[in-house]
Amino acid sequence: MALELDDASVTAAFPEYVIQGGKLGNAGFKAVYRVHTVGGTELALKIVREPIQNDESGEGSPDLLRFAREVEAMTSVSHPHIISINDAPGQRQIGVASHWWYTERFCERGTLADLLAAGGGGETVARQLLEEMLDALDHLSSVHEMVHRDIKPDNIGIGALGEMILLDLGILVDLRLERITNTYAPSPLSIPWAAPEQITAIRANGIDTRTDLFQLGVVAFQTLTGTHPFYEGLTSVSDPIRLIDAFDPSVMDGYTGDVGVRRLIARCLRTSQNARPRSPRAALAILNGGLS
Amino acid sequence: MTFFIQQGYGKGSKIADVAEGGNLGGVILSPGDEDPVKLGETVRMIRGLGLDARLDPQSYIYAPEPAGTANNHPAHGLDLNFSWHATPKQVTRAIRSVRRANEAIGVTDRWLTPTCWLASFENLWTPLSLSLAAAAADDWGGERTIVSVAVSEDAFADWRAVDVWLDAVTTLDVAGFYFAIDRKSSTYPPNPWNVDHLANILRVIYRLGELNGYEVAWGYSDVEGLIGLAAGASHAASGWHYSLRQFNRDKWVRKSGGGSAPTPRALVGRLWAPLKAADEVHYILEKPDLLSTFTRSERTLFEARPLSSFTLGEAQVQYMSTLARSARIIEELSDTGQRIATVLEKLGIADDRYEAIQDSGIVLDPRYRSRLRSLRQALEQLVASEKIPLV
Repeated sequence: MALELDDASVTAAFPEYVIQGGKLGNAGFKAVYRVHTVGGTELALKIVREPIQNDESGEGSPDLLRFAREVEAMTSVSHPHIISINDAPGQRQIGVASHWWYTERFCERGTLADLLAAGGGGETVARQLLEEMLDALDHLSSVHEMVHRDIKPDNIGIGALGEMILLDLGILVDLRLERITNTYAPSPLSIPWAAPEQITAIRANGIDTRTDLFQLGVVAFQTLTGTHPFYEGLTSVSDPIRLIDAFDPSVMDGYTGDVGVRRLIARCLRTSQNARPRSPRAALAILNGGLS
Repeated sequence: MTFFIQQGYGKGSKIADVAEGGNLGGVILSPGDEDPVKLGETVRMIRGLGLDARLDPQSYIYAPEPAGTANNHPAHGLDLNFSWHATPKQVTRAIRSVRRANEAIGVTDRWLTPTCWLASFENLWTPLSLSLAAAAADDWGGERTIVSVAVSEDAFADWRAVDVWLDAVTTLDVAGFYFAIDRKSSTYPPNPWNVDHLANILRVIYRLGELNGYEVAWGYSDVEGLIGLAAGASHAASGWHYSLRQFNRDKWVRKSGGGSAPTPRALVGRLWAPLKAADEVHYILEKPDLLSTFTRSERTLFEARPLSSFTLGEAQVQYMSTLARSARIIEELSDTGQRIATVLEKLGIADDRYEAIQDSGIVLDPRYRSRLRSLRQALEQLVASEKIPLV
């Protein structure tokens, strides 16, 4: 069971870091702290809220398995637009229990969610987002056969130079490994950005890089227009597929003259995986005017 | 060049005759109709004409039961028999057999995968067809692999099933797809298509060709192949015999004996229909107001001598040459929206021509016009369902 960690216990448990302020927040099953080393390097300290227990079965909980996958992904993937691990994961006694933890690069300018909340989107940012995230997704899919499947403004960090960084590989799926969740159960997701195949159980097994492209399309649309492509103004959604089907790409016409951006977002937001770009590389070609 | 000849029995000089027009792209070879030595010679002849050659392994005739027969398949090593639960070893053996058959006749660039016939896309056999495709891509290399899809027209009734199948096949790292779509009837001229089925076929072509960048070839496609080209197909193939202009698996299973010789028909491009040369074409030619029904080259051919002397062989070459020329015109329009808009306009004009012919008192087979209308409606459905902007 996940516990709320108290700031004093965390401060005491990590004397090698100076913790700046209290907990920044929770990212899924982890608590996040902004820290710096004695040398002044800023980092994000992430602690799994669920304590380590002596598990005789050796199977571990889904959260701990995801943590293991996340850490494995972060240590194996090396790309300028994908978050990488700083301190290798370890166990630390925090208060009464032992927890897994690690540190990663800290994104100095916050996240895309912060930027959008401050009204900082627009067509230039949308194009930059698409270019950099497609580069990252191409690396994830073609080199590592991985699907992030949780792309949303909160999971895109912004570095000191304005570069965008794909964060939180917590529910990433490695297509070479067995799924952690039941094959026929709906997959883990963040509803406003979820692709149809994540919502519809029958297609849950078909999650692939095109799932990431759908999510990126939603985020790019939000970045371009400041609104959600399907659920804007709705407090609850009973039939998301119908709303996705009804999306009209021409609503983007007033926001940008960048045909590549418009075309790519329209293609990424198609309900069927087979109507989206086949790969991040194909998506880049559309962005740059090579494909329809 | 986008038009391919679908080879059958008795090729004579037809391939060279059609190639003379300069609009032919290649030939889909039939291993059932020529033994390896003869087919190897055919490949050399085709290459000598500067055309592509692709071997259709025709394995869809064997599975599921009842299995068909083809005279020369054993000589090619292509008498492939599958069960729906074929083992990986059996799948590999089939892939290797097709590879050897291609190499033996000198086809080296693009190979069509063996497949089984599908009554629907959610069929017991569907996983095997996907396994054969994936195994071929692994063994041959994706850039060389064209995935064969032999499927009933009825399978396109259920778009949801088609869509799920498309999700799966678009993960394949292959060069393209080759479709043989089974019509339920073998009558000629063909009955009009069910518009919904045809529209869904066009959606499949559009999704694979235009949206996913695969090469798509529609075999045995007759004039329907032209709207397939507008929708994003790279190739359309059709042949000299009527049985090579629409795919019917029954032809291999229940071989009919002969029958009467077919009436020579001339494909009138502006009507999108194969009219009986001796009477229907003749009647229209006699009406000065209707002369614009024909292109200049058609008039030159039809007025050269009495149409009653138009032979079956001439009719076959005229049919393929006309299709090849029409395909070339569509091919030259680079944008899909432009292609579809142009074809829709031509179909609309053709419909008006039928009206004028009817008003002049000439009675044509009603299937021509109803078929034309099914083409137009299917294309319109494609545009609406895929939200394609027309140019």
